[in-house]
Amino acid sequence: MPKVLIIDDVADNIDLLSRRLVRRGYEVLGSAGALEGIARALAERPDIILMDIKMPLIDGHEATRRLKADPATRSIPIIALTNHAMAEDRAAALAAGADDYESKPVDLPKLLEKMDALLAPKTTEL
Amino acid sequence: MSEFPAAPDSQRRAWFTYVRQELTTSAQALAEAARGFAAKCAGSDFAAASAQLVDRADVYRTQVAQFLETSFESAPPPARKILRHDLRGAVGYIVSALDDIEESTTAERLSELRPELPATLSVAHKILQQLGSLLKESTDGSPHPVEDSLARLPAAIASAVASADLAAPGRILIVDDNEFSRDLMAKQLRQQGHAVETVAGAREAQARLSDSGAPPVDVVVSDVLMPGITGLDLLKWLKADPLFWPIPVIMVSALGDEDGVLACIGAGAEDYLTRPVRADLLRARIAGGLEKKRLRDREVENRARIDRLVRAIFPPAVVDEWRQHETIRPKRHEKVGVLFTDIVGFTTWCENYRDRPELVVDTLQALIRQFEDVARRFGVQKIKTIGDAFMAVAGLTERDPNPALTLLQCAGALIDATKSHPAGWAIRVGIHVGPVVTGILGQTQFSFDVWGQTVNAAARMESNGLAGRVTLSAEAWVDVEGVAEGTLREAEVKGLGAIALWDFDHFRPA
Repeated sequence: MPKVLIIDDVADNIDLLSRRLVRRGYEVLGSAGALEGIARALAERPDIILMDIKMPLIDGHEATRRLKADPATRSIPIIALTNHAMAEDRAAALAAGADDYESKPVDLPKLLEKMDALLAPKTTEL
Repeated sequence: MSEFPAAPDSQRRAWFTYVRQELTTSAQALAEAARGFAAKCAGSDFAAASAQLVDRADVYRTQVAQFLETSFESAPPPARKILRHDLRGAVGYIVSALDDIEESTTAERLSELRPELPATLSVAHKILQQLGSLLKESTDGSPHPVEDSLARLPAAIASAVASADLAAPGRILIVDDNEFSRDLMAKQLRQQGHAVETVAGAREAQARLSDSGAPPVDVVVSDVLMPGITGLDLLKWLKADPLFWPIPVIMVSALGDEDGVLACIGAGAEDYLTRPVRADLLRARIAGGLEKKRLRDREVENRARIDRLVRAIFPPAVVDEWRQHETIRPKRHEKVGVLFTDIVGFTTWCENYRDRPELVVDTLQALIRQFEDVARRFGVQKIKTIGDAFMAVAGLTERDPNPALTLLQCAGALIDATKSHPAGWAIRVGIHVGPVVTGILGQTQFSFDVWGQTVNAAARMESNGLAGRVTLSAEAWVDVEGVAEGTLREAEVKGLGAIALWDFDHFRPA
């Protein structure tokens, strides 16, 4: 049962997305802020992180950089999420170290496909 | 990051106008769709979720209004951020929440939620597209060309915006106690070629409009809230006056003063604007107002033309009765003076011009016109001409204490007019007073007419008269004998037998 960590400053967004993921069998954790999210990732070692980009204080790019800089969390795949995906955002997200990118509101089948792709190698390793 | 389009002003305004309208309309559509969906969900397990969606849609609507009010035009960089994160985020949540509801229920239950759920979802998706296309061009960092947006404008909107620009200029009166707002509006309207006058209050506006020497005002723009006489009072005053009602009035109200707006529209305001007044809206409202004014002017002109025609056919009192009751009832008048004139030897004269009938008509026409002028001068009502005979009455439609005297004085002027007429004619004039019945016979080619024995008697006075003289019945003479000298004679009058009649000689010196 893959463990997903959603980092988003808007609690409602976490609720909604987690409800939908739980319905599909995922175990879901949520963090309403970048700092809390980084700590949670360290403590819980999720299988994948869904990272909102637009957050106050520390944004998703910075959080991604920090997680990818820490050997303890570097291997956790991160999918960046933002409103209205634009090419420059995709580039910025990938430059920060995110593994993939999806725009909000999420098209769940598409997001699941990307999550599966990122989770697959790990599963075959086991 | 690119900003909102920098382009020629009119295009820029058109673009903003379009976007404003689109965002506002879709936000409203979303709120309504969400309400429809919530109504469908009432009492079900989705009641709470759907009620929350209604709240979200309302919040979105408020956000859009705030955005359009504050950031959209004035502050491009924050505008982008708001569009992208706040507005898209809000609608995105609604989409996800609807997806969530869709996923969490059975196919059967889902079909019960049709068509409200997919309808709401579809509106929300359309809004995301709208917001996306507003942000679109910055994907590759290129500016967002206004021309492109304009090309996407529905043709009707584009042409409406353009025609507001091209509207023919008019004379605008701005009534506003706030000097800055007054000057700003005046400046904007002058730039579009309108003649603009400004006043600081309703009382001044009334004075200006009532000044018959000043050029007429086409549109009034008035503030609602003013000290003293309010804009609403001014509006009511204008609409109550037949002279001013055609002037369209555009009211300027404070933002959110919906009661004021309602009262103004109820009182006949053409349109309203809210503060701060947007230049493009002001321009469009003025264009609409001018258009209406022109239509009304044409209407007023038509009505005046009909009025002139009707008044030429009927006496004023009759016209007024017609206006009020849409019919003319036959009416008996107890004491009316009736006057007949006839040209002596007219038939013989005509024989000389047998081959030139138009000359006969033209010559007679010239005399009758003079008669009409004379009659008007004496307050005498012309009834008709019968061949070369001219019939007029006094004391019928205008109160006249002595119709016989009025007619006698008028008769003197008629005789003088005939004497100065080149044809060298002489007329006989007959006058009688007594009761008559007035009315209109038939419904086509009708004319106002006078009937009764009095009319016959007056005609007999004339036919028994003398060339260049006035002949009065004994009844008429009684009323003038205090001031007139005359010669009594007896005549055998057809239908009346032997009667006394008076040939007028002259007025006694006062």
